[in-house]
Amino acid sequence: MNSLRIVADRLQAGSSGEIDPNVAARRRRAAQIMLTVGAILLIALGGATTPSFLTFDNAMVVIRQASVTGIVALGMSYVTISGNLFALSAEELAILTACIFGWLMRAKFGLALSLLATLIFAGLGGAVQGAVIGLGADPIITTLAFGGFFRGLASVVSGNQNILLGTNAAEWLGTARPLGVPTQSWAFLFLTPLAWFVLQKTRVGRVLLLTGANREAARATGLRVDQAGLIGVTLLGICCGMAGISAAAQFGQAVANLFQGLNFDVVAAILVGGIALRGGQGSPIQAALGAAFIALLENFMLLNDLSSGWRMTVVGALVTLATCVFHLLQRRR
Amino acid sequence: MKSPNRSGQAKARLLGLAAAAMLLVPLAAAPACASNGLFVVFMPPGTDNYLAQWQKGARAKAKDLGYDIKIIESSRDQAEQDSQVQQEIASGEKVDGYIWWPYVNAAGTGSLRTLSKTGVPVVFTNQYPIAGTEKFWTAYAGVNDFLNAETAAKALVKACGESKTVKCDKGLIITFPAGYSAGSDRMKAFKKAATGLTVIQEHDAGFMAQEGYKTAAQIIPAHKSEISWVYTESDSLAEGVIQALKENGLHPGVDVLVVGGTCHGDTTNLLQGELIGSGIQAAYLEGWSSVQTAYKAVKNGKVIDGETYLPANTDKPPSDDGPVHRFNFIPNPWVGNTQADLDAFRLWGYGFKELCNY
Repeated sequence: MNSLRIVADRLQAGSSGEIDPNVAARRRRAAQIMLTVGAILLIALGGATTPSFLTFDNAMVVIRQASVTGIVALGMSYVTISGNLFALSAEELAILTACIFGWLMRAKFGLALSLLATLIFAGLGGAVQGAVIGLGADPIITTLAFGGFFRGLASVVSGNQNILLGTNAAEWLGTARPLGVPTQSWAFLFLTPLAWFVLQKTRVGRVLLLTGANREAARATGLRVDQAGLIGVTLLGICCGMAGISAAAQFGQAVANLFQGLNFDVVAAILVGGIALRGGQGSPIQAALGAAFIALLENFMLLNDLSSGWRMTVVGALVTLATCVFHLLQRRR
Repeated sequence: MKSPNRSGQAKARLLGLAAAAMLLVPLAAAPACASNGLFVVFMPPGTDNYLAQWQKGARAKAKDLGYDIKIIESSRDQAEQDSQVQQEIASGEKVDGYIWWPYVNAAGTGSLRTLSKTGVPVVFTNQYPIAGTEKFWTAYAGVNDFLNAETAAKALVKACGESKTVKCDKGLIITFPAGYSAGSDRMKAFKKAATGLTVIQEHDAGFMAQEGYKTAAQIIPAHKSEISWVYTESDSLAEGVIQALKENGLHPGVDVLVVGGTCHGDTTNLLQGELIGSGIQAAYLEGWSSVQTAYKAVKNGKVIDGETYLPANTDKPPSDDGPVHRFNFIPNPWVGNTQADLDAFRLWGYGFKELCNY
């Protein structure tokens, strides 16, 4: 573990010649400054112009809106940090796991077994993709293809019909509000520091960081770099499974066209959060903040009656701006 | 000992035999009876449960009439659907009639024009044809979105008048996605028919409960003290809205009246009185009647101007004989929110559960 940490420090300190520590620090600072300034401006603007914006109820709504996207974005941050860009099958895997959970519940397998089986399936769904990526396949193409496979399978599992769970056993998971906070938000708030801990303080996390920072150097130190993709996409798969279970439990049903636009929302959270696309830098906390900021912005626009066209335009522009700024920062050494 | 060459030839022969057998199996399984013709349908994907049910109805009617049916699904992408039209026409396949369900109505006009140039009947379905495209299609068959929303509006106004707990005034409208013309048609018709009701905010959300919830959960806290009604363009969207209302301490059916537009599989909200009722827009019957309209257009070759509403018979489906009108609407009857209402409902020989449980 110690030797791994030393290697990681050296890699991130630029001994490989590929990563400039100043760039990493500058990037992190820029992301933090952009998000902080943006959030302050938005909150000030919202408070001044929109009567219902600065309320406790609305704060809960924003956190709730950020939660499901945020949970998947935490998983996606592992994929990106490990140097595998994005997994564009997150939406489809979440849909499939929702359908599988619904199917298991309807077949009366019971809540505990259905939860366990769905999460195992979700992890396996991620692991298979990670294994293919580990063999050297392009992560974007691979996950796009798997996305089609998962969506098709969801359609088959559901028979293109609503799968009604037929029991209220899972309702608590989707609709309860312990201490006034939705269960999804509790999960998001709990998973964010956990995801940070896994990345920063465990061997698995170090493997992801090292492989993302410099694949060749990581290989030279004896790390199995193919494991990085496997671990990253498996963890993402489990996060997708949680999102799928949450959606099915919330309405007591699952169907093959849930989660419209989830892939874009998650990628946007990663980019706005400032995680380096080339890998090796960033933290799940940045992904969580990116998701929260986008939810805040969308909420502000919705309360001000902006049409979905304008909302998409603004979020798209924000993602473009974030990408450009971080790219420019990366070029300046 | 066999030579490698001979072994290779033997393997090649075996593979050839296996491939031939694989080809022969489906051929042998093909129906022996001759088909009366072919209808080709262009539509968004059947992964949506409404569209999947539409397909079941269309296939059942085509089989009943002795026609083959080929359903070409696009993803939610008009450009892809346009490309599919080009490819199908370029294939030179003999087609007796096309059924056209665009994803984005206005953007699909070019493909509609291309289909019209083939000279075979083109039946528009599900989305009301936009003005100016009249010469590109033969007939419209399916739901009347204006009627659908008007039925919901009238039911809401009636429920408002009868409610002892809600004094209807201001409310919200949650619609299908932007660009989906059925959504804007319904919204216009609802506003026109909902006399005496004030719209505070209207927002596009999507088709699913999850999308309805996502939008409603954000706008309801800002208006919860003044909302007395919510109109959603489908019962699926209404399900999400009902959950958002409850989370904000409002009781649907008691504090706020919620009305949807298209029935769906889960009757929980309906039977708990959280929805004031449901409009029976049956996907199965829409697919069924679209194929029947195409068949009538091919058989009669003549189209009568004006519109007709297929009769809302309880047990008998409409006849395959008789003329086609320019607009052929399926009925959109209203059903109340009690178990007795649902049990008593019949349309064209189907019950509520058969028509809405998808």
